[in-house]
Amino acid sequence: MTNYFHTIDNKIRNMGFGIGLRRKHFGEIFDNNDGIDVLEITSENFMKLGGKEHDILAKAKEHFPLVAHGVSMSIGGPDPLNEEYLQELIKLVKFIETPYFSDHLSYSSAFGVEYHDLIPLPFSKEAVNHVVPRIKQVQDMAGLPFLVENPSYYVEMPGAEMSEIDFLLEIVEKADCGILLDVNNVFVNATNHGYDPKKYIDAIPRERVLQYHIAGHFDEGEFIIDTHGADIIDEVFKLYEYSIRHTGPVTTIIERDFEIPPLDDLIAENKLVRAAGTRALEVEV
Amino acid sequence: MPTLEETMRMMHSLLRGEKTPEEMKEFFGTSEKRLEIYQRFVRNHVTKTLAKNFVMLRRLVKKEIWQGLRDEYFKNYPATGWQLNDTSKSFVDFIAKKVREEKMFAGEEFYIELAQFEWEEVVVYCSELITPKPHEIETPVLNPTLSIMDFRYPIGTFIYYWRNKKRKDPWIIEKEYLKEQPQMLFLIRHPQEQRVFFHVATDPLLFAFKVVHDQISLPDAIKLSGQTEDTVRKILADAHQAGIIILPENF
Ligand SMILES: [Fe+2]
Repeated sequence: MTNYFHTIDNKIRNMGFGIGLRRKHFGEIFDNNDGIDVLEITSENFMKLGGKEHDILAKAKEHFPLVAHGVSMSIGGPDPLNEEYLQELIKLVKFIETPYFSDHLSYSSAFGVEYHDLIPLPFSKEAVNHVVPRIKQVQDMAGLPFLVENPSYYVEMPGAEMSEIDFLLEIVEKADCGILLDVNNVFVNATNHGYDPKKYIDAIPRERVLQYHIAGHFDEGEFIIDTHGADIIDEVFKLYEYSIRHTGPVTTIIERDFEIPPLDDLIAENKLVRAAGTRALEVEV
Repeated sequence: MPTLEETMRMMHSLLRGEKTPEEMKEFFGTSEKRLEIYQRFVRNHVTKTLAKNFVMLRRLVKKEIWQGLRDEYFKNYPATGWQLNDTSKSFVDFIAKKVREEKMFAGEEFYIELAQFEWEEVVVYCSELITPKPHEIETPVLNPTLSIMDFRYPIGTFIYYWRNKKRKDPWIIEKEYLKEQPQMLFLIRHPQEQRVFFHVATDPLLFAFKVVHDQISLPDAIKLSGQTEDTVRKILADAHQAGIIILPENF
């Protein structure tokens, strides 16, 4: 078995700070990008599109290192992995020359139906055994390391035999893949399911974390929702700093999928993230 | 303890709206509100995409009717493709069925054609084909994203009129558009603008299309049309400008 995860060196592990490439910013991102070291591509927003998206992508790869992040792989789904989807995804990851690709530890389609949303898996041994070979399969197909992201979830599926963190760790160890650690999701899940987010982070082997997501969320009262539609709050910044002290510097992307603000606002927020990441490491020294 | 598949099947019936959060809360051991989030999100992805892809049709029908349509569509046409726009792909068939079998919109086929037009705009925009640049070709070529649509109703005139008028809701459709008046449209993703445009297929545009489609040489095109070389060149240049054909750089 090829060992993809260990092909990542420190330079790839820390490409700096960046944002997602959004249609709203297509017109200005190449002229206005102060402090943006890297862009994240939401794979499905560019796959199989020959027009503006294709042109922008070709230009973006000349200007920035790009990383691919998907939402529709359905790595935990009950149906066989979608071959056509994977072929298109591989075409994209080869085109943008991303050093790795990622998706969520959840599922987004089942029994022939696409949900276009991330549905949580039960934290069971059966689910571990189901997901691990599928991760190996996509890594082998793409010939690149795959990163699983810790998704947010509002309902703990019946049949849990372990904690959320043990579920994630068992899968990444067995599949030998990386982690895309979404700090906002850790915060959201810890709040919604009542656990200590710092303990969750402490448990993660530092070398497994190859990328961070940081984002805002929405307070629904009884629980909070990870909408990627608001500014990052202070507590998430603090948790991010805590996590960076644990893992060392790792590529960090601000996720903003809804109510996308003007580019200038994201550039400003990216500077705050950089400041937090830098501050975290100064404290360690 | 339920198996992975049992849990997923239960979730499936919730997400498809076959079961209510109330009915499922015991199995999942959680509040209705938390289950409702998932049900709402999955449904919203489909209905919001539909609203975005069929703006004209949506604005022509009363709010309650639109809501009824999208709910029935969600229930009966589950999404099967990983592309979000694919969730709208059967909507034209659905509207056709409503108009023809249930005589919705007084059985006016205009509404089917309007839906066809709006969906084709999405298809053309999303085409994975890449339009060659003038310096990449030796002879004139058709824009690979070109779609030719034959309508029984004056869809192009209607769209042009309504998009430029910026009418307030609710929109009411004038009778003139519901009279049959065949119209052929060219839809393309414009190579420079990278947006979708449509053009009514006028004689000059049809001629330019034929010349390029049949690979007719310039001298033969001049002979065939009985026009001067300047006129033929102008016709081809206009079709190039419109994005229907691509002329080589040195043409
Ligand atoms: Fe994320």
